[in-house]
Amino acid sequence: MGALEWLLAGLALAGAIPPLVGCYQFALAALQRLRFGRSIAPFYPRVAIVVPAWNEGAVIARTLDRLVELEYPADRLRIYVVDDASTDETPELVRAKAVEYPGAVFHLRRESGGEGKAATINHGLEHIRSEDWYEAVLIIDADVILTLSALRMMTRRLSDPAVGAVTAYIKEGSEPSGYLNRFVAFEYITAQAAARRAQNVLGVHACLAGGSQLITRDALDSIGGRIDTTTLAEDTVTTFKIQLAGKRVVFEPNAIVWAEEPRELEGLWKQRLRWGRGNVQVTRKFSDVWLRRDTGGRLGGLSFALIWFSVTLMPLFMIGASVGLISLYLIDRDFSADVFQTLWAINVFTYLFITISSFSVDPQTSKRCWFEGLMFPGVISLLIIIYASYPPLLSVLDIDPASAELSVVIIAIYAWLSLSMLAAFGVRCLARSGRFPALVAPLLYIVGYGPLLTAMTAVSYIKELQGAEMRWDKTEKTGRLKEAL
Amino acid sequence: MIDSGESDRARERDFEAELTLQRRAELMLMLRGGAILLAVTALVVVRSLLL
Repeated sequence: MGALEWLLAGLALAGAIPPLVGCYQFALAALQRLRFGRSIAPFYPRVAIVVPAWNEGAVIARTLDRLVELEYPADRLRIYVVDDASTDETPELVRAKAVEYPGAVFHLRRESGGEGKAATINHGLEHIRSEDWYEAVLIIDADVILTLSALRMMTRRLSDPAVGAVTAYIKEGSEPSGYLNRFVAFEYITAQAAARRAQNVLGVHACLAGGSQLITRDALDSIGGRIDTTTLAEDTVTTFKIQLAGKRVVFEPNAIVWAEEPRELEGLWKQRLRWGRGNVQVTRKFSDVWLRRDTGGRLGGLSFALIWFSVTLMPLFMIGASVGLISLYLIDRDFSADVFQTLWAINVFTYLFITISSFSVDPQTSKRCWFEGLMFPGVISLLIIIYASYPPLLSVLDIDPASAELSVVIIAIYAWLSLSMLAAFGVRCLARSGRFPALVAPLLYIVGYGPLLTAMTAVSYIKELQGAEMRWDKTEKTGRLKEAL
Repeated sequence: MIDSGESDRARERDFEAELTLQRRAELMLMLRGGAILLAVTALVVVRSLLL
């Protein structure tokens, strides 16, 4: 066995890194009990809620009604809607609520808007800082619904003076929910409930949820009193800066916030492309942080780098695995079969562990999205998982082991890790074209939601390399949320 | 919203009860996580031994 073969085997097996890191996070998430509750005490600081709003007529009144109902002392809560030059009925609705809830709801109007969410938030922050009343600021999206206890669940974390910011658990709550909503619901169990619990254990966080983030006055001051406007990932930049300033960020899994996520593939694609590009920009912006404890503190740790790069470099891992396996197949078929078996045995293990653990982390949400959880990798990947679990199954295809057809089948299986991204991109193109809309959902189940996310990450790199215009596309909301109301 | 005049002692009692429940939920999550890890590992090991 030569060095080239081992190199290709390493390249192929590196494809197991992202799912293994996923397992690592779930294992860490389960350990949150060891730290949970140590520095939690009742705490009710004066909170200014900043709600950036642009044409939120469908949702804003309901959101404000919920905010004034929160289980929180009335004299310690003020709500500021920053109306970003809305052209719908948002200004009238907010003004009516300001009259209905005097001293609790305030309408801040920007006459020239369109600079994006971060600039709108900054307008609100400038105002509340000038009033000098607040002790903490809660920044939320205009369409989210906080459960009644959510804010006090978050503020109790601030009883620890080392904590600078708290993020809530955002759950997908569309009603009626489409297939895409259910995929997102399952994704949020892994990306929020599990991953952020793991980050609590590690003591370092990648991102405060944009939909609901509580920041102390000290922490806000330490980052200059403003939200970053130079990237598409202002939430992540805020999170990094707060931690680099020496404050802790924590996730509060009991602070539940319901959000309505896109129902259509095109809306989801735009949203995730923005997030993906934002992550690329953050990776560059904080280039002196990665794997450097001296400049990055806990952000510079190995565990955090593994978590961050297993997501942001996912497309490269998948392409590398396919290239490694196929090249190895052309050089040494038996060895390539061994490497494939090893890689997919790991995939079988990680799929089972992550899927079942997700159901365990949030059984309530899993009840409505268990099927999408099982189908997350897609039918084709699941068939490969079944084949990898029991290779003699390939004999049902009745192909001569020495034939060219078998080679084609095996190469296709080896290539699927990368081809799945192209296939997912194809599904998105089909959805965008508007042709055969009935085919989009079944095709996505066949190709997989996981590959769709990887494809979005790959395209976000391409857009960044092209220097594409940065746009803050608004995700259209209808105001239909279930559990909360 | 909460009445600011509510008794601090009552509020703290509720808080402790709530926190105890949440701690118990986290403990159950940890135990289930361990059980899932063991079960999936056993499944993969058995499969390797059988093939």
